[in-house]
Amino acid sequence: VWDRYPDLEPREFRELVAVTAQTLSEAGDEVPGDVLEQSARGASRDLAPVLQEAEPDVERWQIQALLEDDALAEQACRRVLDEVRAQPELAARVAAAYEERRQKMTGIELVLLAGALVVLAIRVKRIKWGDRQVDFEPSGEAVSTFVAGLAKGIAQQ
Amino acid sequence: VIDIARRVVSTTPGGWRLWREPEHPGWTAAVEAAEAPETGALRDLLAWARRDGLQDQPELDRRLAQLGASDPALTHRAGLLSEEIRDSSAHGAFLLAWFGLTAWVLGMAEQGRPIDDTWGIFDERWQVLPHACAAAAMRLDGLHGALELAAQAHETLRVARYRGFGRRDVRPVEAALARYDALARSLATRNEIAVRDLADELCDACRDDAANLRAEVAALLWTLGRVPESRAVARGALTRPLAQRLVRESMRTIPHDPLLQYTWLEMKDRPELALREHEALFAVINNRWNQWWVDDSWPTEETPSQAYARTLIRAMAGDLDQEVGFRFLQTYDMLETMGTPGPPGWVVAFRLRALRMLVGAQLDLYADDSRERLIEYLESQVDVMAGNRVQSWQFPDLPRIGARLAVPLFDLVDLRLGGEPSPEDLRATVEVVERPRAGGLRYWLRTAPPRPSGDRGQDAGALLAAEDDLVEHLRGASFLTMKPALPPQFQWADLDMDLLLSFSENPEAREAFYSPDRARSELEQLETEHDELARQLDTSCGGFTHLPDAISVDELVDVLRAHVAA
Repeated sequence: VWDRYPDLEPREFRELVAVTAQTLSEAGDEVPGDVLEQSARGASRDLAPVLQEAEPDVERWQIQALLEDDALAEQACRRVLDEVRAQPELAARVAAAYEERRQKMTGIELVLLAGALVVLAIRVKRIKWGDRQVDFEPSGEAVSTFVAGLAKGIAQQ
Repeated sequence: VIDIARRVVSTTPGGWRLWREPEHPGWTAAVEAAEAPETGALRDLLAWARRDGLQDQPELDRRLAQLGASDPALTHRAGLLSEEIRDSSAHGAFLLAWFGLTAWVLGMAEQGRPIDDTWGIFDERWQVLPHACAAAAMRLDGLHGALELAAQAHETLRVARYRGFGRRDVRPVEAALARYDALARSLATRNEIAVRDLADELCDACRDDAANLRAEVAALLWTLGRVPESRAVARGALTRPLAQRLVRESMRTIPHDPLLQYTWLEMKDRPELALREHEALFAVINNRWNQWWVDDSWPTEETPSQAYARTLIRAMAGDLDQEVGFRFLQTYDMLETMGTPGPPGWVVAFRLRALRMLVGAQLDLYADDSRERLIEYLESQVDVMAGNRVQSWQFPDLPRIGARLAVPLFDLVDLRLGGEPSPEDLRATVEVVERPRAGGLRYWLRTAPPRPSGDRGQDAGALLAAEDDLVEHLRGASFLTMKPALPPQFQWADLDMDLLLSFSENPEAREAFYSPDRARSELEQLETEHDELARQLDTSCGGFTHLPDAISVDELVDVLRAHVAA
């Protein structure tokens, strides 16, 4: 799937986001419970203190608005996937899970997954499979900076 | 459709704000959008409605009907105008679309013309007006009514495509269907976001803090028939998946269930939960659904549904005192004395009785030796529940019962299996748990029974042929009872050409033929004949109709015991 990334069909992109979130939640440390079911409102509350380290002016409602907006949520997810692709072992695990599960998945909407994916990308520091380990902390920091910048640009309607 | 259109307004926060605020800029945007000479009548109606019409619903309806009947093209134009201004003024777009939609529906009704495809004539306003109205409602946080409207339009267009295929150009209908698909998807996603948001806050409100909403949430779960879950939440935290199910089920059920709605309303001013901030769902929770006329005309300040909610919450918190408990019992007795019927669908009266039992138990009102009488009473309630399940099969247009009648079943199991249950208790419990399920399966067991094992004998042929005939009629009658609740494509069921022609000459015959009430009487009669036929088969064919020996209750109990021991 990474060979074709980022030129994926919308459905494929959503499935890749779902599989990545699932992989991070299964193998990552510091994974909050039920994170895949978390609301955008709950995710924005979790993310606000972290994102405010990068952008002190960003507010919780801006993060929530970002996660509920189709286009902005897609940008945030794409940034996380870029970081995942940059980690060869993690990328290979995600690709394998994608091939295994994609025929079985229902098409969950991106905005329902974006919050969980961003929370996982920022909260998970290390990803482990047996004695193998991937350090994801720098990736999380990059995602955090990107998402904070994106959220800061959202104006009150 | 007019009922749905009204629900769109009442469940769209930005929509009913327009009705309360004639000075809202959305009115100006709508009037300005209808400035062109050919839309003058629409502009005048909007201006009048803004000034006078919001206080005079009958006159507003009359004028809308007049506009719809006299200038059908203008209603269509209203939908197009709405789509043009949706990005600049969602409020103005909503007004234009809603006025166009209601003028169309009321105008057609005034002329005695159907708006659906009944006469085989497709009305192209289906492609525009419901879509414009639902899309604008979504911009104003309106989801419940908008989802219903979009679904109705989608179904109607699907039928139009099916009926028109090969007879007319259906490409515009297919294009409209694609637009409705996209709209329905957006609405469903927005709805799910709203559900998850509220569910997460409910979870937060049920944490271990001194003030929490565990009792309220447990009361909601109990009201929905989720008794084990309600006990778990009363003692501990609420999980996110359960909270989401609770919110989804509640949104589906509240429009028909005053007890559930009043229990939610007890939380609306609690500091632990900012319920009003969840505008899209709060519009459903706080709407006047008028499910039970008794709540609107009750002589004391606390209505029966309120008394139910408040008493149940106290019971779930474990601090029910005599004052609250007896007040509920008095309300219950008043309803009984007056012979007040519950709203359609059985569930209200049933759960009031279940709460009376709970109050009795918590206030220790039962005599020490009342166990057997309680069991007898609860078994009678389970029988009522099983009967209601059978009835609900024949009244599919009434709200679905779901698990909402399950409380006595759990009470009965508790009573039977509490302590050290005897073999008789175990047998009776299994039997009673199976009873409602068998009730739900009654129709299927009758029309498609398990294959008998005995020898059919020589005389069975004629009787079996008669049975086939009866089962065919049973299926037909059952279809007619279900028809009002089936999707619109099933409304077009006149497949017999002679019948169709005779109906077109005699509309009363058509009505009688498709009458669900008549079908229900037929079902009853056919079931009696079917029972009689089974008796004849039994007598003349030596037990042919007997089912194979099933596992005995004792064997089943042994299996369950072994399972528990393992």
